[in-house]
Amino acid sequence: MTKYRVESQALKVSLIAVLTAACIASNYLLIGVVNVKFMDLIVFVSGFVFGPAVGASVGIMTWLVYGTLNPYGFLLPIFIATSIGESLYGIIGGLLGLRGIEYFGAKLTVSIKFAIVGFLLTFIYDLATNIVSGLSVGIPLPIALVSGIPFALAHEASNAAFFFVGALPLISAIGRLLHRGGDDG
Amino acid sequence: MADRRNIWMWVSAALLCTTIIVSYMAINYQAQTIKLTANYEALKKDVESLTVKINMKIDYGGGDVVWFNNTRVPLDASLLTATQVLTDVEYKNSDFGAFITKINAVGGDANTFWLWYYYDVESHSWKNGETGSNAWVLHNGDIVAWSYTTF
Repeated sequence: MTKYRVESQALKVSLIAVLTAACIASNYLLIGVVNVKFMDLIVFVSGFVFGPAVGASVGIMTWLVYGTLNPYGFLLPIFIATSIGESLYGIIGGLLGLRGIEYFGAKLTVSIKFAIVGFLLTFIYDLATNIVSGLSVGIPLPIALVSGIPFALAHEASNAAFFFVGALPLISAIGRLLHRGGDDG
Repeated sequence: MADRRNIWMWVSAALLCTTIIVSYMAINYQAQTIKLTANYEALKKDVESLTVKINMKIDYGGGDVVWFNNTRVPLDASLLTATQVLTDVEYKNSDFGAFITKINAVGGDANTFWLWYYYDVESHSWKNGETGSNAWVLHNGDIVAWSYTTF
């Protein structure tokens, strides 16, 4: 089983805080590598393991900090778009997680499916944020979309790779950690 | 049955991913091509405004003739400058202007000299150079020649 029902509000808040901290720390760590981040994977896995609400919260909380204290600048419409877009990873992760990891098949198949989901979610995220960026800065939409292609490709390819390599081990690791925590407690 | 549908759904999703990647690449390459073509055209325009196109014939003697057709040389270039752009030239200055002694290491033989000509489009004939090569300014479409001539 990989779906954990978090009853305690305190535990839920702690989980959101820890996972948000992991996202923010990794984001600042990779600040120089544009559009290549572990955040999307962590948010997706948060949703997958703990449900859509926790996943969406981690996504929004991360952007509340990272979007405000960002060396690339702050722009409210983009901030809102990225926050909503990021929460999508958590929500979709949560909805897929409702079926349990077993539903997705054997190890390699699961990883491939996660890579596909990661890629498509990132495509939607990039499309939405590029449209909002173009509109808010005043760049014509086709130009905004075309000039964003290299960054979108880097984002989507890296996320597909991260989801392929990292999603399953991260879900398993969190599962083992929670089981051990339960046994000790 | 549901499993089969499920497999096809994931295969379709994977194909959608590859379609997105390929479309992105195609659009990106198209955008790059448009940008580079525009840059090339602008650069060509700049070069055209700073250069003239000439045709230069170099006759080394003994049937050895080389043509530089539709060749760009700097705007306001003299024949000497144009020849220096296109070949390896040795020359000395005299009271009559620059006197070329060697072109591409050919020259220096007794009673043999590098003389220059221009093609007169009105009379359709070659005319002897009237000045030193450094005093003859080239214009767009000019046809000039160097000939290694023995007297």
